[in-house]
Amino acid sequence: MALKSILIIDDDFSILETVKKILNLKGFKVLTASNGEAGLSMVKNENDIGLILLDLMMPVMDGFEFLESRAQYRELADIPVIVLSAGEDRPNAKNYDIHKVISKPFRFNQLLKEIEVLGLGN
Amino acid sequence: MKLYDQDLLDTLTDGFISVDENFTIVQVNKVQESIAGLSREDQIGNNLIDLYFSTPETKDSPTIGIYQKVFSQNQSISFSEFYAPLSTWFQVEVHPSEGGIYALFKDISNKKIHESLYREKENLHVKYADAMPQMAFISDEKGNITYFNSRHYAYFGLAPNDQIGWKWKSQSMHHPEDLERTIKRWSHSLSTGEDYSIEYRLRRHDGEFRWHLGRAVPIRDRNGKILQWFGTNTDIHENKLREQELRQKTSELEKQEAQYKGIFETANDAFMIFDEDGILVEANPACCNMHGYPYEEMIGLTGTDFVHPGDIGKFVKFVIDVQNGKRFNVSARHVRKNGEPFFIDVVGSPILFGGKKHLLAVVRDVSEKEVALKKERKAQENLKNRENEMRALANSIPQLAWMTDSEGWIHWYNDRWYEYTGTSIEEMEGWGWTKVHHPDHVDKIVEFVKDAWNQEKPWELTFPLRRKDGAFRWFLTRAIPIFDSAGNLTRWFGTNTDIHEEKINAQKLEQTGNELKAAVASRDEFLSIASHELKTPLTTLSLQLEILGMQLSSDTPQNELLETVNMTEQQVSRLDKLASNLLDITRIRSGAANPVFAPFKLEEFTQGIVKQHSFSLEESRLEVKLCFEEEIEVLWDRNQIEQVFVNIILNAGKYAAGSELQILCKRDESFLNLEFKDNGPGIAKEKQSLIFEKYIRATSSRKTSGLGLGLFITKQIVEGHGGQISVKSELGKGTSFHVSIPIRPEPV
Repeated sequence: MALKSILIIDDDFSILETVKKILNLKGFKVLTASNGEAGLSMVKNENDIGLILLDLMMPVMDGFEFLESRAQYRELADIPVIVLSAGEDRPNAKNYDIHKVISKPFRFNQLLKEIEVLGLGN
Repeated sequence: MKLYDQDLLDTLTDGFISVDENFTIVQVNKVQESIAGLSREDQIGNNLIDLYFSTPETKDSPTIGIYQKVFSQNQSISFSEFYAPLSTWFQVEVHPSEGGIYALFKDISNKKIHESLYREKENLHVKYADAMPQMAFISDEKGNITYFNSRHYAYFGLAPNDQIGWKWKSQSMHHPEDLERTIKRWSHSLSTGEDYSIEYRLRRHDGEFRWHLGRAVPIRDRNGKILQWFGTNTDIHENKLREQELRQKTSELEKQEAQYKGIFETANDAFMIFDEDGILVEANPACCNMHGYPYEEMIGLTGTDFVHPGDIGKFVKFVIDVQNGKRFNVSARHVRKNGEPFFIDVVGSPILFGGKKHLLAVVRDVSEKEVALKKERKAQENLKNRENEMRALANSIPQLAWMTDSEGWIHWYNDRWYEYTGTSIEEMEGWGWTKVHHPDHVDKIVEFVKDAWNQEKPWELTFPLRRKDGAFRWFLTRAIPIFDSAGNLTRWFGTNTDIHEEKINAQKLEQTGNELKAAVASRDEFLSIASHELKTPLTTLSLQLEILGMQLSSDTPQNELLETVNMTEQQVSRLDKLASNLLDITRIRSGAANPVFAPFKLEEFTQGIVKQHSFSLEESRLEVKLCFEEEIEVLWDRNQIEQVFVNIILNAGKYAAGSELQILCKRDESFLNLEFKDNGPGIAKEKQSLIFEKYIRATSSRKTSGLGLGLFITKQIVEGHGGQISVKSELGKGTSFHVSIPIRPEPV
């Protein structure tokens, strides 16, 4: 089975760069988007995205808006989401059908474990 | 044939003659001999008819027939006859006897003459009746009118002979109310022969009914048999009216007398009638009850018996005054039989009693009233004392105080009220108090108070009152309704307590509290942002260290390791920069509220800022040009405005690096218009409206960092000065911020 790619949506360039690098080291295919809107168009264009790592505070379209827009797009609804949050007002995982909320900063193993739970690991 | 004793017969005063069945004369007496002029010898044995009834004058006399009738029917008959040969009237009684009849007769010639005269007199009635001044009538024995005199016809206006018989019954001569009575009365007289007498109204020809006395007497024959009735109608109209009037007057008088009697008997006041010596001659039951004497003992008493010794003088004066015809009115004391004195009011006046001058005293027992009056006076005095005490108390309290009547009309304020407000009772009476109220509050208060008066419940309200120097101070007003024992609201009592300091302190406290809350909220918000901002580089740093660890445990080339280390260093320097920015931000945040205005010259001030940040501006290759039309002294918060300028200028350095920034300044009346215009890359339309919001950075360039609060705070400061900030921008052409602030803002 071909490995599906992981989409990272975050407005901080260093985060995108670092998370991509560490996931690449573990052999994952990684896509990046710097806000919700860019992430959304990415999902529409790529059909092998198996997981979305979502930041909340972003310009243009923030994480909450992104989560809410999932209801409108079939292709989005089926992709599991892990929220990476630095703030205090984090979404309720159940209400938004989120797989997990991981607080920043986090250990990579925390993320890796969840990726394995979702069956994306090798 | 029976023979009667001749001697006895001869003593009779009537003539006697007896005959047998053949009319042969058997006996006669001396009177008969004398009347007949024949001796008994010439008569006895001769036939009666031959002897006395054989002449032409006598042969048709009914007498023989009567004799034969007595003889044949054996019953007595009495009759009178005129015996022509003797020219004499005889009263004859014929009686049957054994074998014959006898007759007793006497000369009644004289009586007969009377009778004849009597008949003459009957006709005289008519003549007389016509001459009478009254109306007159004659009827037969059955009441049929046979005659009315001329006055009768004249009165009724009728033609003679019109009412003969009983016609009068149907001819409306009588008043309808009297007719039935008249017929009844007339019939009664006719059937009994009693004199007829009645008063009735008869209608005169002109229609007026006038009262008449109708009278009628029967006219009888010698034997008492009624032959006729003779009647008169006499006009008694005037008398009757006078009589009626008199009767009415009498009945009124009687009624009045009964009333007076009733008053006298039942009055609660004592009626005392004294003679001129001051002796009581009449008293009513109330008098006896009041003084405790039975009537018999009461009568005959004098002043000294029932007047209080202390008031005897008044009694004497009373008697004298009333004797002199004056009315007298006095309060005094009487004493009851049991010695108990009591208060009276007395009215005296002269009256005629039994035709003599007397004194009438109407006495009222006012003991109870007197006692009640004393109580009332006492109660009023107490009330007045209490009120004075209350007022003294009300004047001694530190509050302002007032009182209303039951309608809410204020009629009293304590001295403190006048001291505080510097007003007078004339100004303040009723609703005058509204003059010392604040115009912003007075309408609401009047509405509230009017409603409160109706509610009749205690109330309190806080409002400002004007001191005599014009300053308003806050007062807490409390009012309580005061009710009388019957539960009716009689007045309101109210106080105004000066709570100005408390109120102001509370306001200040509330303001401070709000500010503190806002500050705390703002700090929390800031910490949350700061923490968010710090976590991002920390996340990167932590992941890079993990990467470094992974790389070290594998055969990673040296240069890749160095690259990773380099990246960790970048994150550390980012954290360092953030930490120093936090200090700046804190300074801006804490200064945003409560601007402290002070004058400063704006161009000079702007030049200072540019100079201060010249190093940073050189680094971003931003050229700043000032275009001030004039040097203007503004009354702004210098520190806050510095933040505004620094924010906008450094933003330009950040986002429009390598371009030119013009700062234009122009006065527009009381406002100052500033324009910060660069020719950088510009801001996309959809983002322009967002830039003044929190955490927003118009560009997501990795080269920019910060908390995204700069323009948000800038906007807050400008608005805090009563000004406005807006942005105009076009992609590729540049951005221009417009700031407009009053030169001398209103204090907040």
